[in-house]
Amino acid sequence: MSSEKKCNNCGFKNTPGSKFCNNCGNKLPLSTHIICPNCQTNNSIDRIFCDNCGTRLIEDDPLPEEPQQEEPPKSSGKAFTLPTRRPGDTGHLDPNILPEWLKTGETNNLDQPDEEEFQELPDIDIGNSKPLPKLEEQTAAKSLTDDLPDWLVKSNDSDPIIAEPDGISTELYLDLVDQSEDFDESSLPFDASDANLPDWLTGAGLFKDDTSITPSESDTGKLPPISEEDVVESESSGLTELFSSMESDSAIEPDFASSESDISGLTALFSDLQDDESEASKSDDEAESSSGLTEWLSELSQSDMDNQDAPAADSGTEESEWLQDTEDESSSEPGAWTAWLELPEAQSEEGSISEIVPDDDDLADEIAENLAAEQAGISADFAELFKADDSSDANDLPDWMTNIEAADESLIASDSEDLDEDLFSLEGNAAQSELDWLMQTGELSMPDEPSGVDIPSELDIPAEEIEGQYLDEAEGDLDWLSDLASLDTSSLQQDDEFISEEVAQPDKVDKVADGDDWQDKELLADSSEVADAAEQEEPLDIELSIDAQVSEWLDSAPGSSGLDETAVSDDLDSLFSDISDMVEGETPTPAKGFTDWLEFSDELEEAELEAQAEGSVAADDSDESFSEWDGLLSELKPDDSGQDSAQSELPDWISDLNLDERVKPLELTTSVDETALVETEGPLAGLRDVISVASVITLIQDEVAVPEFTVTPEQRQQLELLRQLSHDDAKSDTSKDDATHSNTSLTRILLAMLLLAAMLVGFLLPDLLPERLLPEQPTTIGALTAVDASAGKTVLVAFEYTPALAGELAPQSQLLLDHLAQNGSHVVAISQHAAGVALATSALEEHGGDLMGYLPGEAVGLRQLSDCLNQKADRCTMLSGELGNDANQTVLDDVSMILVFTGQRDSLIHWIEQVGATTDIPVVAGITQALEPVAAPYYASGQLAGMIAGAPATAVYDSLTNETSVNGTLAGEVGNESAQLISMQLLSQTMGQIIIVAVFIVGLFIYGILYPLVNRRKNL
Amino acid sequence: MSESIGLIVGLVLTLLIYSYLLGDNPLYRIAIHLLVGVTAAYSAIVVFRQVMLPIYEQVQQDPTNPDNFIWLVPIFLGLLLLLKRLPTISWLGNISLALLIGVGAAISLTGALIGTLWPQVTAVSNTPQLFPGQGIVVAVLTASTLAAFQFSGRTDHDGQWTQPGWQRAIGTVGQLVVTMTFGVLFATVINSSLILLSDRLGYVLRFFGI
Repeated sequence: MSSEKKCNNCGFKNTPGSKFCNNCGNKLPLSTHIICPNCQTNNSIDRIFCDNCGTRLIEDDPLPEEPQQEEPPKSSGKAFTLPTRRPGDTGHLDPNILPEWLKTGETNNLDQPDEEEFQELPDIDIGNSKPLPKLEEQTAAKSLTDDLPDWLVKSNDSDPIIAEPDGISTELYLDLVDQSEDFDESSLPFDASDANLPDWLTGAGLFKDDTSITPSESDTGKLPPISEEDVVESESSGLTELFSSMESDSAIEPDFASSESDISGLTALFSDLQDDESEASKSDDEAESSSGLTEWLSELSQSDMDNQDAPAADSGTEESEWLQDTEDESSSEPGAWTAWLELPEAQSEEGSISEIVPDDDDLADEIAENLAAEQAGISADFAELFKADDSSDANDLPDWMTNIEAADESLIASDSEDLDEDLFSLEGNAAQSELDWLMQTGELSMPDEPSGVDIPSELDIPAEEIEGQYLDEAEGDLDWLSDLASLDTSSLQQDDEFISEEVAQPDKVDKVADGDDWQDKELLADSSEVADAAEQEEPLDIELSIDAQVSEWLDSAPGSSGLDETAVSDDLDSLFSDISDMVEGETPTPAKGFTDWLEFSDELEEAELEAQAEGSVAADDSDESFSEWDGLLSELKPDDSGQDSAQSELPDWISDLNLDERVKPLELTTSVDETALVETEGPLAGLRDVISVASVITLIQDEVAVPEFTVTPEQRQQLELLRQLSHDDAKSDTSKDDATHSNTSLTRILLAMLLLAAMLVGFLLPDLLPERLLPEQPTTIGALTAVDASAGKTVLVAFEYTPALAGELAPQSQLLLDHLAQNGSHVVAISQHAAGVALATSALEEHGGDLMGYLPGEAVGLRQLSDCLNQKADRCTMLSGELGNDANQTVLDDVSMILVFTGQRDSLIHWIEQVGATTDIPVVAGITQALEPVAAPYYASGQLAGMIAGAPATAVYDSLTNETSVNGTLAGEVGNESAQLISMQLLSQTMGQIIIVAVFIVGLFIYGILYPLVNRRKNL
Repeated sequence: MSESIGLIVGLVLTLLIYSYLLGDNPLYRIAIHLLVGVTAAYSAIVVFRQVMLPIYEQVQQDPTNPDNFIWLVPIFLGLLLLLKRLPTISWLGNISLALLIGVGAAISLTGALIGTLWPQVTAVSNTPQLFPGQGIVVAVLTASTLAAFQFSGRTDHDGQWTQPGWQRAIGTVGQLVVTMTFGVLFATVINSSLILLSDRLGYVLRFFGI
């Protein structure tokens, strides 16, 4: 990720860490990196320790707790800033960076600062800490008026609220307060409730101030003297009360015991900085004193408090104090208005923030009354600033305070709905800006505005443009809050450890989201609501325009002349930033970005605390990996106890930024709701960016074009053949009705009976057929020749058939054995079928001969046998059983012919290939008629000396040997039983063939001619 | 008497087998089971008597003869085949099977080469010509028969599978040759069946003295 920061205004790429554009000066968006304070290395936002040097980037000190009030001051830095701070918790204040006018309380020399006077600023002794450096060293270059709002200092109006003062002093603000108290609210040209105080001012009331900083008078020189009693009583003094209150919960504050100073204003500031909870017990009895600008602010706050609900009894003491101060306008002590600032903390501790929220209505009323009576126009505008309607009390509350209310309704009595309405209203959105209250004050100069809708005409821009500027404005809004936030952060950090101010706010929000915190949900919810409001209420959103546009009409506001609005804004930023640094401790640190407080949530902080307690957190110089931080995050659980504070720490304006939608296109393109990407179930639980299986499955798949499939006729034929082979047709026939099945069976039976009848005719009516002579086939003649050639020699006869084929082969074997016997041949029977051994035994008993027995092994056995034949008996060592005896060995040596009777193809092939091919012994095959096509080629090739295939060939052979007619009748005449049997079989076979042919022809006629004709007629 | 019993049993079994004309029935199954059982039993007896018993007698006559130790190899291989029934160690039987199949394949292949392929190739020119160009006709018909089983082709522009015209023509001739061959085989089978039927009919007629 590139660390360069691109300016949104001019597009200039600035060096990492720049807050403002190096080219145009525009404020740069906050980055997503943490710069190591030690080596200046850019580290990812999620790093705890520097990748380069190992320096810890994030504060790891535990949260300060209430009992820590009595602990000595220490730099217990929390990793979180303003949102994580509890009411009254303040940070280290660095007086070195306080604005000049806060230090001195004088503005006489704002335009021409006197260096000598600055040099006379005393070193402030903050308790036990080391003396603060001189203020003028830090702020000499600043103009004193820079710290004042434009509308206060610069005003072109003829009758401004505050004429451009020659110098800003406490008296000036006291006068303003006096005027505001007498102001007639009714004279205001607008709804005073729209005068939305800046959040930080309103929220300042939540803080408690127990400490005081009392620099010596000689140090300040310019502040009016203040008695020691006043100083003691003024726990909350002016604006400083805010910061002291913010630090009240922490134990960071040094012991500002030197409260002998009689100064006010700045004195009170520093005394407030030392507000420690250890002194909280004394706060109830202390009076308030204030002077300078802070006094003015305190008066405003007191006015606000007047309209608040009745305070709780527990906080009655403090409330009475500031009420008294409010009533006692002449006193105008610095602690008067700041009293309410300290009250909220105490009251919040009592569970009723609503009682401590200052109500500025009374103050506004007074201002309105005063100004309306004496001044018109702009004076009333100023009064409008402090005017607030009772019903809109919450409107003046800072958003993060309203969150407190949302989190704990008991804390704030005001109606939360009002808050929401105000939040999404024009004023609410406008209040998001740091200059909200300034803007609305300036709106008083807009006479055309009917009510609180303070929209300058020059800001009447299209809603689309507003939407585009929304983010820019939001960033601008963040300025003062960022600085204020840095106040918290700095107060919670170690001296040499800090979080880079460049951490982008959106990233911080995302970081909060990492912890699965409720803050994220609320934040996103609020942001979405505001986004909706921004889209729907276009006119109202005009107020959300950028600061530059605001400054235009602000410049035209009374009293705003002569001062640059942005300068004021910047000064405010720097004010709080510097204050935060000052609060942090002795070592001034760079101003922290407001995003510091967003960087970590309470859960993260607690996780660190737990990790420290368990010793899992290594020392600062350890190289802690990112996984460790992730581990801490994963262990975090939403803490209800910290919800109140955390909720209060998330101002609504952050939610209004709608970061998830608006910021994402810019710097947070990778910042998404990571909680939604973290897998929570399954084996991938805990992993991010896991693609949901459901989402993948539910994806609509593009339709894949399936090519057109065409079945060719050839394929149909092949499919039909496969169906027939797999008996699919037979299976389909099972679905036929019984009638069809019975018809099929009947047909089959009828055909069988017809066939039997025909064949019986062949047996019973032998004269039915005319006498005929079968042709003498060469195969049969070759068999006869081979048999005759082996006369007197040994003939090996193989009975390779079973009784199932005995009906066809038995006549052949009997005929040939008779012929061999007649020739004087020695017959040796052998078989590779067990049943063939029995048939051989039966045949040999009738015709004589020797049975060699059973030859196992099929082709292998025949190969072994072949080794024993043809005078190769010396190699015949593998014949087993009876074949291996010496007698058989001798017989095998003399075999001159091999006669094989078989009805199986393999047997015939094996004999031909294994024996006939390896020996010179002629082989004659007596086979079935079905095997004739197989044996014919072997006869053609000379591998078979002769062949007798079936009953016809047997009859021919018989006629050749006995010189008789093949006609069956002849067999009876010659008395040869075998010849008679063969003749009758041939007649029967012939009758059967005739019937089969007839049935075949009839079938073809029916199914090939009649059936189509019938179907065609039906179709017609 | 025994001959008469044999004839009766033979007649009954023949009728049982032909009862299949009425469809699959228990009588037919009984006859089939008897045939299979008797054949298996007879085969076992034959093997035992004509193969195993002679070997046993040979070994028993001279147990110390080293030539008899050769029988330990088939015995051991036979025992391994029996282990096929034990699933856990059935793989041991594969050794015997491998030996049988390997030796059988080698013998069959050798016999096919020297007993069928080469003699048939040489016989084309050696055998007398039934007609001029017999060899060419045999070669063409053989090639056409092989082409009939060639299913490869290509898809045309319509995506339809097709074959070249010459390939389809040759394939068609091959299909005719195959059809004729199957017809001849089927006819021979029918003739053989008719002979067997007539044999049985003659047996029945003889039984009844006709």
